[in-house]
Amino acid sequence: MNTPGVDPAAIKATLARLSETRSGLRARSAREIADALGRVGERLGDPEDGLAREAAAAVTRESGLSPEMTGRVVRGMARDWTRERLRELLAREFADPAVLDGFVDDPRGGRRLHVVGDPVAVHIGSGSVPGVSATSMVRSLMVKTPVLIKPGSGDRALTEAFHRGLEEVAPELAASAAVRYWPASDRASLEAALAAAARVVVYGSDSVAREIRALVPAHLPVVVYHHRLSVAVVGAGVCAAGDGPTMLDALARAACTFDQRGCVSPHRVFLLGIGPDRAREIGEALAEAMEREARVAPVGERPGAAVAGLQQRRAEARMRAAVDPAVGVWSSPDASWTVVLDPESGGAAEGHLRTLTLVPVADRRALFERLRPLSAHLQSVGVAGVEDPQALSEGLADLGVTRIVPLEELPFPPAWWMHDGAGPLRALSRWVEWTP
Amino acid sequence: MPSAEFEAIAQEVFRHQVEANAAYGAYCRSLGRLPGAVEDWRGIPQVPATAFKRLDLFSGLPGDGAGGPPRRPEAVFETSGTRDGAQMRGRHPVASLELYRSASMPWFRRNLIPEDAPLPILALLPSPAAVPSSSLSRMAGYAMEGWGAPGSRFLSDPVSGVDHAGVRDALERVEGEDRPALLIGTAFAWVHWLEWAEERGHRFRLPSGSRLMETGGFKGRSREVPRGELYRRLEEGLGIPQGRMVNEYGMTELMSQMYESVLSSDGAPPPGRRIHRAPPWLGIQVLDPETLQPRSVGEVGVLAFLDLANVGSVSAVLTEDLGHLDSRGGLHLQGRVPGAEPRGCSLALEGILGAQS
Repeated sequence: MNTPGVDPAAIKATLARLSETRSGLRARSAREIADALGRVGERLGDPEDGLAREAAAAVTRESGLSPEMTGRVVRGMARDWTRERLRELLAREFADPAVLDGFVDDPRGGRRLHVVGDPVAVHIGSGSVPGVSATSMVRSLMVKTPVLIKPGSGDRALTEAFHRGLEEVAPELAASAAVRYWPASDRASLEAALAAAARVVVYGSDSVAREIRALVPAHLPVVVYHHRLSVAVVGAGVCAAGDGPTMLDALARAACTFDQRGCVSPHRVFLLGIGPDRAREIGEALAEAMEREARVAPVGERPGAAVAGLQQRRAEARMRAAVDPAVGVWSSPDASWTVVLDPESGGAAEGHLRTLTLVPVADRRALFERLRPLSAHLQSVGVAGVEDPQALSEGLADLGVTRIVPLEELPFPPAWWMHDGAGPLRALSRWVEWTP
Repeated sequence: MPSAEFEAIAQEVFRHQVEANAAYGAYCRSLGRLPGAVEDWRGIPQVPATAFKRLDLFSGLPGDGAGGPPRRPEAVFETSGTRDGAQMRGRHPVASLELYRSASMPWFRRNLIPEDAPLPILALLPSPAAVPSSSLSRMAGYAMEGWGAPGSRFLSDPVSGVDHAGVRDALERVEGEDRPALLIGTAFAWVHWLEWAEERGHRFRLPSGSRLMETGGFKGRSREVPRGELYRRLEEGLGIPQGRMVNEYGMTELMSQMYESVLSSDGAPPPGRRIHRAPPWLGIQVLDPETLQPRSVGEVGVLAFLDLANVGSVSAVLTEDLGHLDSRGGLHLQGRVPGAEPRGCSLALEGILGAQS
């Protein structure tokens, strides 16, 4: 259902109104904007704050995540919406953040540089990962671009809460953003929004991205964050170092956060140079970690049809385990979590249902061969206990991976992460050079 | 079939399949559920329908191959492969095609040709000679052999799927006769035909008593049409009342099929409120999707079947489909809910591999 009053005419009017706020937005310093946004983030990160409580309740209702998981997700997202983190984002993106406020000298001399946003942008979200669209709003305002946010159907509550908070903290800044929802079937509203945008940002499946690209004029910049997949690589060191349980707890936490719906959520775990017996031990230990995680942050609501699909995959894996000693299955009595050890894993479908598939690989070369078919969609790789992480990272980079981090850092990338390979603010702005 | 008789045969079939099929036998042993230890057919371990894609589930018939050449299936029925690509098609080895005929035809006749008299049968399907791996084509072929009057034929096209002009010509002939016909096709084929016919303004008034069987749904297809709308358009385009349109619920992994019993009842409820009936040799269970424990009458859950006609493969099959049973054993099918899985910014591997195939 659309946000009340949302129709093509209203969207057009909203975009016109947002465009009018641009001069006011540009008059503020980047630091001032970051601080205002940061104050909202700090409220959302404080569980005692009324705005955070209200947001958490709404996110739980909307997303189907358990209250415990919602709390983790809201806190995790808000961690990177604070003043400190947003100032750091500015500093990491631009050697001199004042470049957003006007022309500054190129440190290497000979020209002056300025980074500018757009008259108005439209950001189209999809899916049900809370916080994606609020982050998108923050990024657009930080490059001084007024923005219309269309969140995903399961990401409205937190986006709207952030905007409400901004209205309280900095109403003039809040006037440069609007949150409007319409369903994917409402093509007229989508087309009205795209017609008035100076930049389009799309989050969604390949088919959604393709559809929107086709609707946008060729000269308009389109930034696409299409669906991605993350994996983990665990080496023999995870056992030798005696920190196996800690690492496996981090892995379980990474898989279960967002109930595995995030592009940063690992689905497959490659056991690098680990033999069959040790692989089975890791499977058992990981199963215990998944159970601990299920107690800390229980799984949320899932449609029966999705769970029925999971039961197919579980039963099929159990059948294969019965005839192949290299295959193993560990699972909760209900459908909360599943761990499968399967050296041949390749074609099996895996959904967003707290399911991890362990895939032993002999060496890096074998690992890269297994990853190659997925390379167009690979994003983050969580790593633990591997020998020669430099060589591993270089190989992963060649494959298309854009983020290689310790397992515990997988679920919540920092504000300044190279989102799908590019700086998040630089992706939304353009450079102007002036040679006086 | 009395429940005691069903139970006895189910146990006998279970014993045969555990002994004859290495994968299934090992699976049952790993679960600790073996013949003699399972008291009720509902406790017989079910194989997931997806296992037909990756495992050899051929059991042969009891007594087959004793002292003779190695057993081989007479045919292998394959799923359409729309969900996971052609390379991941489910394969159901069929020990005896005669058994398939015996399992499929009586219930087909009862639900689609209750008068048991010949009539023209038009199937918007490839013939079994063209696609021997299609269980649906085989079934339609058996129906034509049993009840097909002159003019019965398969009407498919290797490129477009449906032989549109052939269907038009055949319908014109049927319309000009005074004998009711039976039309058979998948939902997807009917949508294709309707689009073609509507574009050209072709409408028919088939003789009273004509009936239509629709099956298959839209799994993995790019175009989906709500069933109510499909039936309305079929009624307008063919002149067959919606009350004479019968949905068949079957799957390649089962030798037996279920039908809406609308032809034998007074007045059919609209699509979506109809009941499927299973033949006596097909047991149905409704299970809690989370725990796979049995659900009570009226509670929606995932469907599992025990098909005695699957004696040559594995009889107990767990599906992904949802539904509930009423107090009289009628199956209220809910099917799969497209896009039901929570969507995130993570792409399921299935999506990637599907796109690459």
